[in-house]
Amino acid sequence: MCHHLRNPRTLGHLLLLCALIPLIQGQGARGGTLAESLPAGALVYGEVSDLGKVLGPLQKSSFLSSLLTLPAYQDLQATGPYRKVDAVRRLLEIHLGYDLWTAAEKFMGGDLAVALYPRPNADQPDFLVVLRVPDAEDLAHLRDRIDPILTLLDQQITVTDHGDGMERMELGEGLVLAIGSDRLIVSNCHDRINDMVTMGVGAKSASLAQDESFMRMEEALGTDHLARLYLNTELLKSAGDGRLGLPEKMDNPLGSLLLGGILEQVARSPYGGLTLDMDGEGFQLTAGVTADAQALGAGYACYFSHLADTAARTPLRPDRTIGGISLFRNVTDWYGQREALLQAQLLPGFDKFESGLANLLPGRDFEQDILPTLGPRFSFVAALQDYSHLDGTPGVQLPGFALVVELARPKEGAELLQLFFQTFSAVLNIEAGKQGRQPWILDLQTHRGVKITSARYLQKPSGTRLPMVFNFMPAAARVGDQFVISSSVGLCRDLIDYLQGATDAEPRGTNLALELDFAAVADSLDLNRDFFLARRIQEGRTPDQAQQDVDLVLQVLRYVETLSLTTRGTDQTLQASLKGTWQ
Amino acid sequence: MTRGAHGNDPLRPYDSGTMGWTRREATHLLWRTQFGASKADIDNALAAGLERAVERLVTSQPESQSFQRSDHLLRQVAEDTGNILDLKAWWINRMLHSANPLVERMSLFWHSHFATSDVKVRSVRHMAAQNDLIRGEALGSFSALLSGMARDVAMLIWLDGNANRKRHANENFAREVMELFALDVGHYSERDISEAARAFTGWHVRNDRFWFNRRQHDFGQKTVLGRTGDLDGEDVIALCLAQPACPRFLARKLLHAFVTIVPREEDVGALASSIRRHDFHMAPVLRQLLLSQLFFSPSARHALIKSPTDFVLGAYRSTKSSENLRQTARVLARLGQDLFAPPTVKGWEGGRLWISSSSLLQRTNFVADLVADHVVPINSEPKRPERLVQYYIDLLLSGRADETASDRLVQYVEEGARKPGARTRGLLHLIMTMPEYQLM
Repeated sequence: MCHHLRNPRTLGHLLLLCALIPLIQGQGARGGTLAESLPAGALVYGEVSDLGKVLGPLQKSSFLSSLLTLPAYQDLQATGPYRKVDAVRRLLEIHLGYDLWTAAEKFMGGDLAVALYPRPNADQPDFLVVLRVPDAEDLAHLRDRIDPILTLLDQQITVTDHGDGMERMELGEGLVLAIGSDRLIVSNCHDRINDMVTMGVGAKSASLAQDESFMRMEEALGTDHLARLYLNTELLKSAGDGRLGLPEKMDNPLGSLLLGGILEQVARSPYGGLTLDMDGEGFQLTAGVTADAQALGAGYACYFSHLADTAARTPLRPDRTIGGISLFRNVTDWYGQREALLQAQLLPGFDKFESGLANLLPGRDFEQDILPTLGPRFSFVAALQDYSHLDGTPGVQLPGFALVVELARPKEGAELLQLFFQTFSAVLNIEAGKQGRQPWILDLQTHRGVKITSARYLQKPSGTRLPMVFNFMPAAARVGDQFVISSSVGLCRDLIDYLQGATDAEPRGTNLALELDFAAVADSLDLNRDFFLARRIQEGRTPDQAQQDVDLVLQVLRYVETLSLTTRGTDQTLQASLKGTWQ
Repeated sequence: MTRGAHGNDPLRPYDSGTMGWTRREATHLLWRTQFGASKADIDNALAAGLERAVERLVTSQPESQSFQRSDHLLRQVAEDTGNILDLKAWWINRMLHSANPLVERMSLFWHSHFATSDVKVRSVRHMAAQNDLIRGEALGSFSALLSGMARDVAMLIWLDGNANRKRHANENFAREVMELFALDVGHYSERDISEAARAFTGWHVRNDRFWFNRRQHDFGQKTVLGRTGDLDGEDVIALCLAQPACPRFLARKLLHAFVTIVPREEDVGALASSIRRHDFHMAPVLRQLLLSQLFFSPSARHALIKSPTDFVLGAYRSTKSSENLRQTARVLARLGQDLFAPPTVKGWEGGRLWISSSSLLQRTNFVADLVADHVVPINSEPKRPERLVQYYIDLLLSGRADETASDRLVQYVEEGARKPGARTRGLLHLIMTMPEYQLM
């Protein structure tokens, strides 16, 4: 039954709609997810639930109000595009009868889902967008408010009623809008809407929530999230060239060390899942796939700590820490398997690296003699410096950096690394001499019973704005079965203090753990405010504009508290979790 | 003074009342004395008149607070990082935004004259200190500048001052003082150089400062440029300055930089006399030159090939583009003028050497990038094609474009893009890649 909107709706029509409402609401009713009311076979499915509870606090937050007072925002308000968008906003608000924040809370307080389905013999997929509102009256109100628009556009929009309780509007170019009592559906395909509606009236077609891979994702990642995204990788592979566009081998050694094994697991998983949770204190973003590390082959075991029944350590937190990253990587195995893990064109680079290293560690084979002395757990840490090695501070105050290596053969490993440290310092000294800079002398000191080899200058540098090079005064020490190489002796001492105390381990299976303290990041930026101002001026900003830019970045950084990332594997799954907290 | 009082003196004052003080003369003055000229610069100079416009150039003008702040920050970050690219950015900012552009132009002139390169010195602080020394005397006393250079740490590193010892005199600095800094080839003998080198022995660097190393100074008798005695470095400098060749050498270089690449001998002589008369003080010499008939003579117009700094910074200033200073330093290096790294001890010889098939292509690429990414069309530019073309011919070519070229540009505007921004960008691209735009 088709008719133009100008025709009055009959009482019978309304009664029929009312009769069908319970049927429509029956499937995927409040409490269930929209995946239960969408047809099976989606390539991609995204869902947002109860976004209104996030928008409300955001609207009232001091962060938003302070952003709106920024000069950059004031400048934006004066631009043409902003004015146009703002005019549309005001028009919409007048038409709706409430502001967009209220509209968002009303309509986004329910669920919003987007699903893509493969369309045979077509490049573009079918899509379904479903909005389910918590209060049916809000949708009815919206429907009333758009009525005059539909009347004005009656030549372009055709309204049809299929007797299934969904009023459908043909918007042109194949786009269909269907409005039920508590939901609104948009699609580029009638059949998809029909599939959805017939599911609701008891047809036997399966829902997306019953898809095998979807259920595995829910089992691994749970169902109760602010937002989630599901990718049916099997379908995506069959829609493409069967490989998800992922390379078989990594083309970057550092990428391979940090992220190796993950892409390979994604390529083999039947799904890819992503969930987002948020509240007034922070957010958590979790990505997950099914995983079977052993099935990848022996070459990949070096990436997965659960196979060794261990875990990366918790990122180190010495005094004034800005951030740290801890890794589980069996580098000996990784290096030995490089031909299987990395693209062939990278391999000559390893030979060159070994030849170069032979000059620093003569008579030793890197793979056979050096790597086996190292354990599989590494930590890298950055911290603000105390500059106890100077009488003054550098003009640009860089953080101190340190690498902590767990040693499989502590005595032998420490001696080799010590030799490397001393030889490397000598090479740097020659370079410093060429550039007319003061060379280092290597010094030995003891801190809490630990011997520290450190570089120092004959004359302690003094001054208020010392050259940047004075940020570096490297030091090395062995603390038990760990070896510390640090860019400054102060950080080395702090790490000795820290490592001699109790240190935590991440849960079994953690392969990587990263933490960032944004207050310390902001402090670091603030210490180098002049540097960043100058950089912005170099980029063409005026001093005032540069000041505004730096203030904005600082304001944002101060709002965020921490950020952490972990990747963790089990016998069945591999998950990466990004957590953030804010004020 | 009237023309009659000066006779045929090439430095007689240009009579702007009779000969004209139009946009063309103002543009000519500004392109030679700063790095390009915006429409506002030209309007201001025109309104001020020739004498006041020149006076503003040769006397110290107060810097704005905004400039002082950016100058301080950029200099500080260069010294903090020790990265020469940051020091280049600092100087480019001064060239573009200082209220004393002639000081910056003369600083660049002296930088090329004393051609010291960070490639060997490898110290931002020393290069910056030398630049400060140059800037302090850019319009001041050449004798003070030469004397300061003899004690400058960057110069002493550059010309191996610490290797100049009484038993093994190193002639590098003494040779350059005579050949490149004060006299030119043909006005000294090899013996003058070896004797002068002895006078500079013991002028060393210690703890990043000039240090007179008495134990390595040769206090014996020397004969330099006809004078004998226990001469030291200062004596050698004074002897060089006293030579007639010295002001002629400087005059030729100044004319080469400000007037023409082929100066006439009588013009050199006239300017040398001015230099001697003003005891090597540059401000009065330049005042006289910039106000002279010679400076505004037809043969001096469009007679210089723009250096990369003129070309690039002039393009920024004319089009009011925002500029990335570090990126600009890299562009200048690609075009052949790497600041703080002149190619040889002779500095940048300039002139026709600025243009080669490679550098011309680089200039074209620079203009393409500039008009595509940075140029902000001026709101007040004329809308009618003929007027729009004339506006930019006046601004960028000092009105110098023949009728055919002008017609072709109008045709381009009429048939080209409809959007004013794209139209202006296309027009600027065409004008700034014309052969005429390579001249000033």
